[in-house]
Amino acid sequence: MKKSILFLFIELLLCQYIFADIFCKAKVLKIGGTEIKGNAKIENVSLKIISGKHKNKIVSVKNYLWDEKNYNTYIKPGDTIVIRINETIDGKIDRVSIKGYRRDKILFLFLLVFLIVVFLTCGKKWLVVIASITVTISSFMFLLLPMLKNGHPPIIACGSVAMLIALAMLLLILGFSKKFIASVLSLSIGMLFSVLLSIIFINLTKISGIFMEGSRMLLTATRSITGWTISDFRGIIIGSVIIAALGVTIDIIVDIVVGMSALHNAKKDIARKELMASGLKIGRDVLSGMLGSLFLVFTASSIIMMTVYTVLKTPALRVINWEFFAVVLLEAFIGSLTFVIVIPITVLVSSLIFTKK
Amino acid sequence: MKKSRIFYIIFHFIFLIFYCLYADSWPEPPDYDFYAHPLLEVSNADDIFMLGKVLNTVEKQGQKETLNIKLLNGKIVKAEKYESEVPILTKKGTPVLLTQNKSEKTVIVDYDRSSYLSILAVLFILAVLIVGGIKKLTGLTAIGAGIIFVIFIFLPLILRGWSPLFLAAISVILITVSVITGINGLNKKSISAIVGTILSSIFVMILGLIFYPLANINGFSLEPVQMLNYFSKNYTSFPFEKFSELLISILLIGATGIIIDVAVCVASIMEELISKNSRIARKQLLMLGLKAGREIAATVSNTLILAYFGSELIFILAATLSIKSYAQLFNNEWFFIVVFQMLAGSIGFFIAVPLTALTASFLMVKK
Repeated sequence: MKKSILFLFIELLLCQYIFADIFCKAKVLKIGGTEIKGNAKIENVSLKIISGKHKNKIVSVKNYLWDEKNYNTYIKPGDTIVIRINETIDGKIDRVSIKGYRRDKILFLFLLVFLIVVFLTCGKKWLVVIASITVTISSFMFLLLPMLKNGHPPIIACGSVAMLIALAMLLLILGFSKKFIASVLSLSIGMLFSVLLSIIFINLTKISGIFMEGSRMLLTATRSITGWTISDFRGIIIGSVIIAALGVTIDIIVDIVVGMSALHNAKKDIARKELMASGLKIGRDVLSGMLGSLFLVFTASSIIMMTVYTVLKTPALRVINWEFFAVVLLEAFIGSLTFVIVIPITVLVSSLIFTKK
Repeated sequence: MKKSRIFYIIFHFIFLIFYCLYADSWPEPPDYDFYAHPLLEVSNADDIFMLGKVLNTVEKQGQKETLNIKLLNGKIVKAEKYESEVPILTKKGTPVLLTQNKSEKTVIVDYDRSSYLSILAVLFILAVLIVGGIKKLTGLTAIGAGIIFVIFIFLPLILRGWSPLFLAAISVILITVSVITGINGLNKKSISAIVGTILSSIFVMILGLIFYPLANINGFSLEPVQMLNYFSKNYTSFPFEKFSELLISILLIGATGIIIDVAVCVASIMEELISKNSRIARKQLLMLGLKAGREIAATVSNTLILAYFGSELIFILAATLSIKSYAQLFNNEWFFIVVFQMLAGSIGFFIAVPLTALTASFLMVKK
């Protein structure tokens, strides 16, 4: 059982690289008889392909229903499902297999709901919100992931994309001004700090990179795609620290810089010390709330793994020293440390930029 | 004089970074079995774990190596190295994790990472204390208590068959109430922020309950969910079944923090507006609060997306490497989960603006 699941998993991963295959949607016409073979029930299904280059062809497929019901795709006539077609060299259908349920319609429905909510709650600001979200998601999808796929060093890829997103967001919020320059400067110092701190602590805790959540999936995939090495995995930890902390860091920098510049505009001859004190006060007011939201996101994204440890009743000393958990702690701590350190950095940099002495 | 000193510091900072980037300090471990997941070799439940430091090597025969280890209480024991796929490289003074089982044999199983992690934790706490001051930290301790609640009460209870959604709702309410009253005390402002947060969390939960079953989401494209399924079936008397509910509760807990942030901001702006003009009409107050709240929501709109993307980068990368067409991407289960987590959480704090403003305007103004 243990082995069969593992092999199934490996096979699923490997198959996607060995064969040239196409994903497309198909409609279930009818379900023929079922037969039982080992621990699987097999349904004979006939499908009509409704998208892609084999459109309107009718194929028959075997739908395997395992005794582990969560891995199965249950279908009935009239349903639309996603299938994978393996082609022969001359472009004919070789083998068809069922991949899963159709989800794109519901995904787009949800995006519509999201747009409506943004439109209703944000009023005139909806364009700014949609623009910044689109910039963020599309620079991940079309810039960061392809860069990493093509084997660029993860620290440089993540760092430059994070900087790009930050520049776009800051321009959108602040416009090109002294405020913008101050925030970009403080952000880049903060990012350098977090890179340095991550490198030191990854070396100290001797994190190898292969025991992180999902890193085995990634290794299996990268083996057949690019010439990745394990040290790049340590780079990805640093990249994820930078990106995870980027959002809250930008928020707090904008808060501080806007507050300080307003104060400076109100009172042109304000002393640098006074300006710095009020900047620090603004930072302190929002510190604990934002730090809390960062921590809760990290908790949420490691809940499933923690449930696994709870199932296994692994002793706490073992869990903390385990690489899986050490990486999560490292990311959470360095991310939030960066966020905290950025407050005095921003106060210092903007006071240097705003006042002459 | 002063400028040159700044340049000196900057120069050394940059030099250090380049040194770290190019120093050959990351040795490549040799080839190993990628598919043998370390959690599959489950340790004995009655193993005792302890920490120690390497003193010297006693004897070495090929792969087998026996070392003298000094334990934390000063005792010196002999221990063998555990033969794993990634060899444990030790020299004098390396902190290691040891295990002792019934047969009194001591084995080095891993590096001791907890000591360095606690240095990092101390650094973090120091930075927070210096920058933030002690007064502002009540909210943070409340969040810490909430996380401890999630780990030590939430997780064991869902494995006993309790509904994850119910427990998530309880933890969201607990975190919200303790954080907001911890920061502001119990007054009209906090009550309106609490009501706003809880109502928007309920909205997010309803969204999850509608969309996850519609899209047939059970999380089985995620490696940890597969592991949870396997281990809970084979190691506990209550096999865990409610995967879809667990995913919704993760979504809720992740979004709570930022919803609280926005709700508290909106409530304090409303209070300030009243203190400036105590005879303000309810409708006018609501309009002003909504306008200010929108500004806040617009500036934090990317925060949740970035935080989720960062904390799940490895997984997202692993899953996208195999994607070749849009039909595959948009129908993928994990893609749906990732997008839903990011955007439904964002919906949560967008909707928190009008909900909090509405509650506050009813609570703070008589008519």
